[in-house]
Amino acid sequence: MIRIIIADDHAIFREGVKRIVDSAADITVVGEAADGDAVMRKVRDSEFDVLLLDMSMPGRSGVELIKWIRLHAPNCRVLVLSMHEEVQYAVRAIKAGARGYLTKESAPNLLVEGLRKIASGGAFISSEIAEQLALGAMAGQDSRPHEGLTDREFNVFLLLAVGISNSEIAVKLGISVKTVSTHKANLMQKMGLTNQSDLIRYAMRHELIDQSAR
Amino acid sequence: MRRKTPSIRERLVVLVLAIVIPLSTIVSFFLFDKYHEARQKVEASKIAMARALATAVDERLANVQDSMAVLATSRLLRLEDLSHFRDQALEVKKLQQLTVIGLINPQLQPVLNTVTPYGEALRPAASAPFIKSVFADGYPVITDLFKGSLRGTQTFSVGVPVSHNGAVVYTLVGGIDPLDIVKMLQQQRLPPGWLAAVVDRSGTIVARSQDQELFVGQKVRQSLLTRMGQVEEELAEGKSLEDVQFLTAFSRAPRSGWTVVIGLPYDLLTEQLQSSLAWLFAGAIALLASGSALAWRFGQQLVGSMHSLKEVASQLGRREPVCAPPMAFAEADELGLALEQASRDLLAADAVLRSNEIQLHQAGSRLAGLVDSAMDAIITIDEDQKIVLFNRAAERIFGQPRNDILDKSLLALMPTRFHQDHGDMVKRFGMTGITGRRMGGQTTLFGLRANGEEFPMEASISHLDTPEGKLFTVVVRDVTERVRAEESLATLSANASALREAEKRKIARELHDDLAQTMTVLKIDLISLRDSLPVLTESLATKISRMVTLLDAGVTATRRIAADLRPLLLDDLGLPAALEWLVQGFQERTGVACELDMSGEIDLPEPHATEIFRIVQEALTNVSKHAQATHVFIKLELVAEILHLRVQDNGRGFQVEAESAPQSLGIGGLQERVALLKGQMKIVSAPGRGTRLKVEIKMKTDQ
Repeated sequence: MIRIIIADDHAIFREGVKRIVDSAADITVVGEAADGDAVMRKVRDSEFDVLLLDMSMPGRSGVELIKWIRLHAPNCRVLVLSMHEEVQYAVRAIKAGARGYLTKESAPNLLVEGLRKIASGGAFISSEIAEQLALGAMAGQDSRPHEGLTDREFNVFLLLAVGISNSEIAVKLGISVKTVSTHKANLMQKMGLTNQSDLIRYAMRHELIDQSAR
Repeated sequence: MRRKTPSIRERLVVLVLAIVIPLSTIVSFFLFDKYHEARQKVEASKIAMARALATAVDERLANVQDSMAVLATSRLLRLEDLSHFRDQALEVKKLQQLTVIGLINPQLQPVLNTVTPYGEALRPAASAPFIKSVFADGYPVITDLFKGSLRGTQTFSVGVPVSHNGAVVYTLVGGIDPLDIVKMLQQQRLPPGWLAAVVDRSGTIVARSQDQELFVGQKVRQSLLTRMGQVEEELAEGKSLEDVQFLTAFSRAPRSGWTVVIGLPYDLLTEQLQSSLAWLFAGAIALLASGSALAWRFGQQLVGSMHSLKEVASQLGRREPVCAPPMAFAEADELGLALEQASRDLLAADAVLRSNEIQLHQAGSRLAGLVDSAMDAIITIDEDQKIVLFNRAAERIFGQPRNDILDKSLLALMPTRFHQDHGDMVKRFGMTGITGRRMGGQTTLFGLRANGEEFPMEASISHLDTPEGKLFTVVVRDVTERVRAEESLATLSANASALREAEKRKIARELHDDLAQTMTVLKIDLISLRDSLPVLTESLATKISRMVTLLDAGVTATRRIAADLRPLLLDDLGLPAALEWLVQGFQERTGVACELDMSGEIDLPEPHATEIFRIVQEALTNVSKHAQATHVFIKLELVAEILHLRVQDNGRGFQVEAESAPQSLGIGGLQERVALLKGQMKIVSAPGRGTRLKVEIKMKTDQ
């Protein structure tokens, strides 16, 4: 039996959730909370398996509330059930300590599954959220590999960054197209770039665009 | 101590002395020279005279001797016709003016003489020795002076031998009266005071031009006698027998061996010089006295004139009408007249000046009135920043009475924290000399009122080069009211914006949380209704499915509307999450690669978070509308309380200077928002080089 607490300030929505979990025999609602304070009390005082938590409630709510719960009841499993479909909500909720994130409109289809998964110690997140979390984990380093380029390579880099073709660069610098290609390959390799788009992004990040204007 | 300046009189006396003394000296020298010349002449003439006299005496004696010698050869004498010989002798005596002629026989007895008639008894001859020598030697002899036996007077004689057949038979003696010689001397017409004497061989005075009776027969002084024994002639100084100092010349006659002495009294010789010198001295004294007196008088007149002129000059200085009294000198008169003219000119100029002054004063008053009536504070400072003009508006604005602030530094009107900047600026302004420039550029300046209150002001400065140096005129406008109005406008604007945002937020929240949620609940209920239906017909299932789809669409639409109104993430999760969401949505909608770089969690207060979000949102809208970019890079970081935002694209860019650019490219809205946050905005772009928007906002720590 999975004991859950429903925390939502909208009574009709709580009723809706109850109707969904009614269909599942292994899930029982052991408590309800309509604001942050009630949630904190329930978390401290009640025995339950999963806290079904809305992101927006009166009083302490959302990420802040999740962080509080994680601090005061580390073992409490939280499944966020939110009207917000933006992935930012999900990512911040997960980072704050939630085990899963569901939008309310997907509840009829996924809530029971999610509750079960979390009650069993797992996590419940969409693939989109997982991707964002993964991206966030890969924090970009702020290195400046362009400083290791030769003057000629750097000139080629600046011209490439504003979208000038290899042949045009060859004319501009008075060298052969083949030499330009060699420089390009060398600098891409030195800077760990894989394509033109990376190159532009790098140039913009380091404000290297306008320098080539003259 | 000031050196005493000599007066004119002293100077003039010195001048007189300077003329008289050298003149006297020169004349003295000249006189002495003359004296010496005269003396030499006299000396030379005296020697000559002595020599001439000696010769004359000699001749006389020679004449007597010769005529006696001729008489001695008389035929009558040979014939012993003594009676007739006596007659012959009487003729000779008369001719030669002899005193007596006598004939002496070898027994030294007189034979006859011209005194005693022939035949009478004769008195024996007195002077035997010379007669003896005539008999012995057979030569004529001239005696020295002796006392004649016949007449008993001083006399001298010439004795010549009368020879007969080689033997001296008689001696013929002729007596000569010394007065003859005296007469000779007197005939020389010696100048008065001069003395001439004839001295015989023994040094006895035979004749003397003066006091013959007293001195004839006396010996001359021994010193003269000694000299006469040594030389023929000489010029020397000596004393006469009267003890008078004489310049003496003597010369000895060759035949008789007698000496003629001529004396010139010294007194006589120097008398002329002395009198000349005395005259000169007197003349010099007189010249000195008269010159000094004249100089004194001139000095007095000059000093008097100068005093008068001084008085005139003082009057001139006092601007009184000047009347120069008649002066002792033409030059002084001219000067006086010139001073009078100067006085007239000065008074006239003064009158003009006064009228100018009055006009100037009137103009000044008008100007002051004008300056005072200005609404703006007008303050003029000199090069040292000392206030020289402070109008009524300035008094009002700064709360400083004019008299308290004049001559003080302009800095007194500024808050301390601006002093350094201000000094630099005025210096720079003074050097560049650009007039009418607004002070402080865009930033508002602050003035300081007397009560310590600061107020915002606008100031413009201009400068004027005057002969006394540069003057800077600062026109200050108290913009407190305007700034207050601007501030209240900004506040109003911010409030309006905040209000709008709050309204949007409220509606969005309600749409999202109420409407969408209600629809969601409806959806849940619908599904649970479907699931709880005992019998689900095909058509019912289709209907329910369509209803669910409609509800989902309704929720989506509601969400979109809410998000468009205001992204709730901004309130729920903060700016970074909202920007992430924005960027994500932008990429999805436009396909433009968009990168967001934020260093850490940037938790901004309102209205900053909202405005930054809106700025990025509008910037991205601009990119999607105009840039045709393939990449967008957004960087947001908070460094040293300054929030830096950069939105950069690699699109086609534009000419920043182009007039139409800001409005058409939606930059106006951005500027408004940046202004709301009191930030700075910069757009860097060039055709083909993409566009870079940079925003800097100072975050207040005390907020």
